[in-house]
Amino acid sequence: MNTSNSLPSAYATSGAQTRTPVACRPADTVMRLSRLGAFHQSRLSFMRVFTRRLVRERWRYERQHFAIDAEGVGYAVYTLHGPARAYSLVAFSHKLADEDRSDRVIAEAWDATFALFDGIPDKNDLARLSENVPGQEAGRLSERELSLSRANRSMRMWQHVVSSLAAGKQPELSQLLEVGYLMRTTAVYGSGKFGAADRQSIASRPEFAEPFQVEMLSVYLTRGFVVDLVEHMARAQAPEKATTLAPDIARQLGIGNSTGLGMAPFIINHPTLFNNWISAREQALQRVRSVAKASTTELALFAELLERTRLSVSRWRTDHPRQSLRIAELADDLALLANKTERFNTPPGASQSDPWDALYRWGEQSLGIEAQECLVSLMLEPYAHLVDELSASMSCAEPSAPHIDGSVSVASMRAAMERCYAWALSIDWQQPASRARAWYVSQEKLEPRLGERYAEALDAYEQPLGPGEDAAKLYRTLASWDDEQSIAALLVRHPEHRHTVRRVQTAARLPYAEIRDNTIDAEMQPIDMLRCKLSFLGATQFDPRSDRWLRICLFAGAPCPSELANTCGIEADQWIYPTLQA
Amino acid sequence: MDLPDTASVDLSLGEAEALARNAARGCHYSWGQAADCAAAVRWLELHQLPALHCLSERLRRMDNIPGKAACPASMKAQDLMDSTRLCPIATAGFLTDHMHALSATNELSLVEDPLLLVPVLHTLADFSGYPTSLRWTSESTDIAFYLDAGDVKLMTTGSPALLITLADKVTLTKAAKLPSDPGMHLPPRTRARISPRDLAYLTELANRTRAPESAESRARGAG
Repeated sequence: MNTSNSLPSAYATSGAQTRTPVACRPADTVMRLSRLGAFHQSRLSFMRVFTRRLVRERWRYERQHFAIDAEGVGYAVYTLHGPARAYSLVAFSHKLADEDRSDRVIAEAWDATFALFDGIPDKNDLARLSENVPGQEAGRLSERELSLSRANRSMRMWQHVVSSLAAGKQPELSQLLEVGYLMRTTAVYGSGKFGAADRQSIASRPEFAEPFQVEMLSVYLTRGFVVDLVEHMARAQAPEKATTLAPDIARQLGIGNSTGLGMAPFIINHPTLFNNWISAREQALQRVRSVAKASTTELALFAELLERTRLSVSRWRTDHPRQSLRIAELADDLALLANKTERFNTPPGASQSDPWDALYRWGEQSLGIEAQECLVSLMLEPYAHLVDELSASMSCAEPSAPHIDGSVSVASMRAAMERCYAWALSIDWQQPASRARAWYVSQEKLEPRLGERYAEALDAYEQPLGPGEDAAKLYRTLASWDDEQSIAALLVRHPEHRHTVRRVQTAARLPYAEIRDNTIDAEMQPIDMLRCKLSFLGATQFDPRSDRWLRICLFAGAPCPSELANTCGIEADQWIYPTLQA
Repeated sequence: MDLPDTASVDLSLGEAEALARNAARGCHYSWGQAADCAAAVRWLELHQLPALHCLSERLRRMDNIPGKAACPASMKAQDLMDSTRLCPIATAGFLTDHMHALSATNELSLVEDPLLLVPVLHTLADFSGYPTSLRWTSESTDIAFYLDAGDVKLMTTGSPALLITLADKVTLTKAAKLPSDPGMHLPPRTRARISPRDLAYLTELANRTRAPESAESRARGAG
């Protein structure tokens, strides 16, 4: 991935007036957990890449089956037809006692369970899936399936919407916006899990070129199913009187998601992929900051989306103390930003040179970290022609065990570590707090956990998810080796450093491959890792429920599947910024 | 020759890789070696070779045996050909780490479970840009794998013992001369195969890397 200061050929044809390009932000600035944990969705987020594609390529939505009874039990099948292939969501709806409803990964029953099928399933496929999907991890998929997922109702919202529709009325929008969804997924498994197709087997399909497009497809179709189901339940309650959701209201409903620690190791275990995500975003920022002069249209769009972001922030609800404070500060900072850009947007401000670089630098000095990263996302919005092509660089065929260059000398390895791991080498690893946590996998649910090293006997089960400490150990070993000796020779004697050598060599090539913070520190907040990954998915309304799990919303405001045919490009792009006043 | 078909459970290649990684780690290979082993199993299974079975048999024999991860001490001929029995996982790592130092032809003696060494061909082909070959011989077996532009070919004479537990001699050749005999092509497939017995055993080893859950840890650490 190119992170040099050169600018893309897109500039030559875009009409953007550019200046000498600014540099990408350094990894030491970007890759801190506090900043990664303040990222917001952007036009490079996978959900937005997905909806742009659906509209651009005119994907067609079709409800194949809806066989659900008055109790809400049965199945439904929905298909999206793309230019070359069709994909179907097979949904099973269950009756679940309130006391069995749990978002935690340790749950064993759900309101609805799903598989995303490659094509259109026949009777035999449906019979097979009906035996395997409701049990989730206990079942078994085939390579015809691309993902496995489940969802629970948000009971308060669900009951409100069903009773409103059954009474022939629309639900209260203000109430809906407080939650933002009627169902939330509690896990979406793709990439070969539980027998489903491997990512590699579908990676060459254009619709899956960007990361997590399978998961986006599944969640998007789930959203269509939820609207159908809630309307069906209202009709079952009052067949004569019930009405359907008004399209404007249906569009505001997203799909919630409860996300736990399972997501955190992903960004440590996929350093090349993670680098590509961050690098694309940083290059996008670099390109926009290098624009010499902004047009009035670009400035106007920025100003409009800033106001819509302020509306979104005003609707952002959480009881989490840290996040509550951050939202309040963000709201204040965005007011400051609006004030700043009001002047920046009026002549002679509109003719200002390097407007975005100046604004970014002002933001660095004047705004908190949440608002700085929100500003980054907003600055990318007027520049589809500079930014959107970068999404193609966000995937990679990342080998799980990249080749180690054993010819590297100990001196070179030491120098690379001093360059890329200075943050880790400066930590006092003798302090108990520096290694207070240990990542492990639970035998029961095969899910990552974060334990307290000194309170539980976890050392035997520790996963290699503390790269900082591992780097420090390798560096200490290097100290007793001669400069000119090779890493290959060192690894013969010290195979325990093999994974770290591999990691250092990756980080030396790819500046954004490594989180530059201690992931086993006593004060580390795992939700920062979750938030970072979720921002790339496109999540909004981050609502931490503890330091290690949170709820978010996807697709709220997006065109409903049934509206795809009538959606234009701008609607496909900017729907994530709310326009409705509740 | 027919490949042994002892398998009946179908896994995604990702599942095969994860299983191999955790089982190797459960058997006390280092994390880096376990990742090498997993990548090797994936590559072999992709090319229809019974890697999960081979790994399972190896770990069954070698569990708790000290020195099971032996590799050559250096690229010197006497180290490559000494009397130490070589672990294919550690030796594969050793060879790929020494790509820069490999000769046109490289001989090693006494390599255990040589099937697990075969994916070295892939790294060598990437590194050298030439067709590569790996051949092993023992008293009754002479097997050679060729890799040319992603195409894997298997040639064999004598007893077709893919799952031999000890090769007397292994020869790794870069810029290999491809045989005129068509041999047996091993085109990629999309799934891995494993017997229930091997699956149970590798899962048991993998479980050693996972903590039994207590009510306390569940309450505190679960997502």
